[in-house]
Amino acid sequence: MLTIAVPKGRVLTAAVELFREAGLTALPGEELEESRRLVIEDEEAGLRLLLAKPWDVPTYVEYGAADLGLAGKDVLLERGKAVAELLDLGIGRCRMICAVPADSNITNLADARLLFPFRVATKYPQIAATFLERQGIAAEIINLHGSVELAPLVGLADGIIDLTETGRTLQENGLRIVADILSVTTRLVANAVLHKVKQDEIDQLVNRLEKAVAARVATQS
Amino acid sequence: MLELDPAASYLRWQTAPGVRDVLPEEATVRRQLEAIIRETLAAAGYQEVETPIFEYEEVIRAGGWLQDETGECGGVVLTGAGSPEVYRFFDREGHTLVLRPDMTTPIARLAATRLASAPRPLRLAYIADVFRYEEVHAGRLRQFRQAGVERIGGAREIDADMEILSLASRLLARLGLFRFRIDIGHAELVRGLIAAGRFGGREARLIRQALRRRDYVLLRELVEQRGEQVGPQDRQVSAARRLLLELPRWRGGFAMLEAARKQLAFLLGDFPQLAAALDDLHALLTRAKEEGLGIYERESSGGGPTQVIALDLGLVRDLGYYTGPVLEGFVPEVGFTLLTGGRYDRLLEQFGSRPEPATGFAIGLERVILARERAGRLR
Repeated sequence: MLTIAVPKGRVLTAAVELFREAGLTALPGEELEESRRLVIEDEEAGLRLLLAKPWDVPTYVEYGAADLGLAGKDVLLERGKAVAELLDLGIGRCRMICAVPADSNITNLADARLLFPFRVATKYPQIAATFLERQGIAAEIINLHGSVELAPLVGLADGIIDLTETGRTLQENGLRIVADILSVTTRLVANAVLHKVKQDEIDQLVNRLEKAVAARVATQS
Repeated sequence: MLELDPAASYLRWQTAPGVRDVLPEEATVRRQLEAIIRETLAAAGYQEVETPIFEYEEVIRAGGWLQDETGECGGVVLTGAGSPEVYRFFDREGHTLVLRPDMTTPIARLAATRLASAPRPLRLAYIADVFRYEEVHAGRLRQFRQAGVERIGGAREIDADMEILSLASRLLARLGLFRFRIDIGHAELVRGLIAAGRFGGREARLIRQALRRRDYVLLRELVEQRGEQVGPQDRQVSAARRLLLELPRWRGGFAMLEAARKQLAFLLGDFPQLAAALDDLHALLTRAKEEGLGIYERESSGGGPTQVIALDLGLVRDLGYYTGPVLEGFVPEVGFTLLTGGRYDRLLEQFGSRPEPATGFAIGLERVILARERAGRLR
């Protein structure tokens, strides 16, 4: 039996779909999203899913409460937990960007070096601080928990660092991208010790998921 | 409504983040375990030493700490979560001092300086608090207690490696952790394979880092996209790169080791360090078997580890000075490593000493306590 911490929300549906393609489960993804249950067992498949908040998945895995987890690269980098990263699942694809109001004087990131400080609103204070420091920008990081796009509109910040999938939310709120920071996908992570203790089971799951991911890439190209 | 008394002394006088008090009940358990550790290490001929809790910054730096290690992701350089920070401060003369982040570094300094002319092999033991200024991890605060040994100089290497391995397993069993597993990797095997894949400098460092953090997604990205282009005549290089990606899956016992040797055969002529590493691992596994330790074989893996030694060829320890077999011990009940160690033949020379072979291990006391509690509850 493998215990997998999975994030509630859109990624869950996409992940269950991928697991179905890999022949790992027969669970219906959409229904799980509606469900209020926190633990879902698929005895036949030998899987137990823990429905957790996306930000908490690395914690469940680091402490060994779950053998495996599904987490976005953004969350993994921000939380810095010691977990093994086994596979890029290619789902939950988006970009982390830095954006400023369309009418801002800042046309590229280098302009921000002239500001003391460049005030940035973000859900990712660690990533933002490291990234801006390495760009030589004196930044003031304003840590928010959501709707980050609001901050520059009301003068709380000069810009934002956040995720975007299509860029629509940015556009609708009059924001313009000045830097691409990293591309984000959902990763399969494992507890380093449990990965060894249950290595046969986990390797098998990884192999099947790897094939399913490769099959998707093949049909796309 | 829960009412807080603003005058309550426990609200006013708190401990700093990452450190804590140990109350009598736990203190008793800690002293009992320390007594077991002292007795076991002393019986093996290891003499206890103490070193100052802070050192000059350059000593800690010579021990491989404080190197500007950065990771990369999607082309962005980010500070690695795995590069531990230390507590630094100044004395009145303006020297930078560092709270020791491990005991191997101070003991290497000691062995290379005041104990330079002491008879070899030196067998030194310690039980001491170490300090890391980093995010609090599972079972580890910013101040935590390590017990361990260092064996410096002296006899044939494989004897020393075996001495350390067998002491490590004896200690885990004496501490009541009966279902342990110790994984063995080899620093030169990883280095050799990286060299065979024609990675150098920065790329080589990043690949080692990806392996150490078990970030296999990054590993793939680095190996597939960051190597110099090789033509069809360089079949050896592309084959080595493929094996580098396979490395994390090479775990097991004798059977796996033989399979690995066959797969690596085409490289052994040009990269003799690979052959030497495979020989080391084979010798160690053979000796471990002779000493009655169980050897893990994947085919017969039923019910998880019970006092076994296994190979994990993708195992990389965090500090660059490791040169030979490296160890990592754990029990199935807890999701983190209890014991780490390995051979570090390049460290002593950092302190101006002649090059000397050295090997050792450390266990984390708090983690051992957690593992014992967890194992007791589950039994």
